Amino acid sequence: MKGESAIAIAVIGAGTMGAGIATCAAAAGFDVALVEPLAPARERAQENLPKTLGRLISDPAELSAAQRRIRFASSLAEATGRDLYIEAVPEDLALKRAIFEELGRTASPNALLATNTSSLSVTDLARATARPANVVGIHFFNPPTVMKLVEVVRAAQTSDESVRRAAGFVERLGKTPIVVRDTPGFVVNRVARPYYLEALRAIEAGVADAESVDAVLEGLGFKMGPCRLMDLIGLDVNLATTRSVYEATGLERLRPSPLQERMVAERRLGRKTSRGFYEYGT
Amino acid sequence: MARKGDVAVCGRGALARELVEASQRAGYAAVMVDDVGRFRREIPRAAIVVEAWDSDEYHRREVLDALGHALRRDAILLADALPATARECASWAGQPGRCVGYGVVGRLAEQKVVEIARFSQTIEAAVEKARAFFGKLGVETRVIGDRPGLISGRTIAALANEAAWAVTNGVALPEDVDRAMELGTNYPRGPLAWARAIGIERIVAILENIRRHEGEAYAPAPLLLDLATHGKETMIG
Repeated sequence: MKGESAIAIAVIGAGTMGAGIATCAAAAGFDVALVEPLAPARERAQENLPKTLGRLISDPAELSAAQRRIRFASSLAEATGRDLYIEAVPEDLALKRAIFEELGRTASPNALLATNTSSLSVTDLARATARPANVVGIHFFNPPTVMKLVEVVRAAQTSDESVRRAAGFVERLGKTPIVVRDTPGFVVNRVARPYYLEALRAIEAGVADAESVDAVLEGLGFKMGPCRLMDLIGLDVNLATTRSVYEATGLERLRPSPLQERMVAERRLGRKTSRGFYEYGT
Repeated sequence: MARKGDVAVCGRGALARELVEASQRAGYAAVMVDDVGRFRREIPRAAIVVEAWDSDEYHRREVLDALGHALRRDAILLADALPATARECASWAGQPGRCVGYGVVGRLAEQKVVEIARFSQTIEAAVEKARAFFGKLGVETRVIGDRPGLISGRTIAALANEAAWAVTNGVALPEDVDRAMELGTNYPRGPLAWARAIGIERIVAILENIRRHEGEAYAPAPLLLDLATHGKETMIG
């Protein structure tokens, strides 16, 4: 990303987030190397690409051009010389650190090294590279092709220039960058905790059932009540976010709910197990 | 059936005005009573007395005490159950059975569902009358157990507080926190802008109510306290 014209990026990890980010970037005109060592995940992303890109681009000629801009690779060695790397592998600190260590050795000195982590410290990841000032968080929301918000995370070591370049990239995707400091949960995952926790605590206290809690909050203008929303997200996924923010901050007000822990233990995870706060037909 | 004084709304703020207007539109003969000196004359005429005094706790105790004394024997008293619990309001009014809590966080017009709060001593008939009253106003109700801040107030206040803490801790600028929440979740408004529209004092009063009952986890963030005391002029718009 030398100035405004740079266009070669690499996305590492072809899961939901990585494939989605690669799709957005290709649609916006970037050349993308999508790096995925696991063949099944790579093939799945390859198969889904026309469909997901098709939701962003209607013109057939533009669609096939965008499709050609994505190249699939099985290792970082096949994606050298990129201006921007976005790591989007599972939330495993050791795995991510290994990637940043390698990028610190192999990427060009000017390359921006980004992570899509939502729960790990970007500052910790930056310590794994030889170029910590180039490390920045670029946190997309699920699904990346739809959600307009991207949190640009400034770690303790991140240079102002890296923050600017990351925000510029996000804008070129047609999305809105919000610059946040590297703290647990950043803005959205932290500030949203009470929406779920207050609902869970009301049910625990026995003052209302899930349906009433949802009705009251939907009546205030929330599109989806917290219980319906947890059922959609998955109670396990939602609990993991609360846990990670709570464990990193130790704040009593963000303590996970015993009710939610019990529901997760009982596999009442929401829609994906047909049972959460509500029952779903299979 | 409707006669003068059916409904008496006690208060002087925007919510009291809105409740009077909505009651009149629904066909009630409703009056606004904004002076404790008029309670003895106006309150005994009303079958439904709605308290929306919106003031500090000390003053509200006096208001509810006076309302409780003037309340007709077959009337109900609806008390704002966000800054104090329904049980507390009922005890200040000396009307354990006929004082029902209700929760309107900001504007009534922006709330499709109103919580009706009851506790162990609340009379069922009083709850039904309260529901019928809001029903005529075109508002759905949910009867819930009495808990500080109810569900609506707790959620909005806790979200605003977490947003304020994020600003206080230097995570992002206030406008960026709001923008992130609008785009990253499907909240109707950013928590800080929402709190300003409702009134920072009211958000702080709800948090202080929860804190009084449940402890320091709900202490208002310094930013909210600053805005509540100094920020009124600058935070408009």
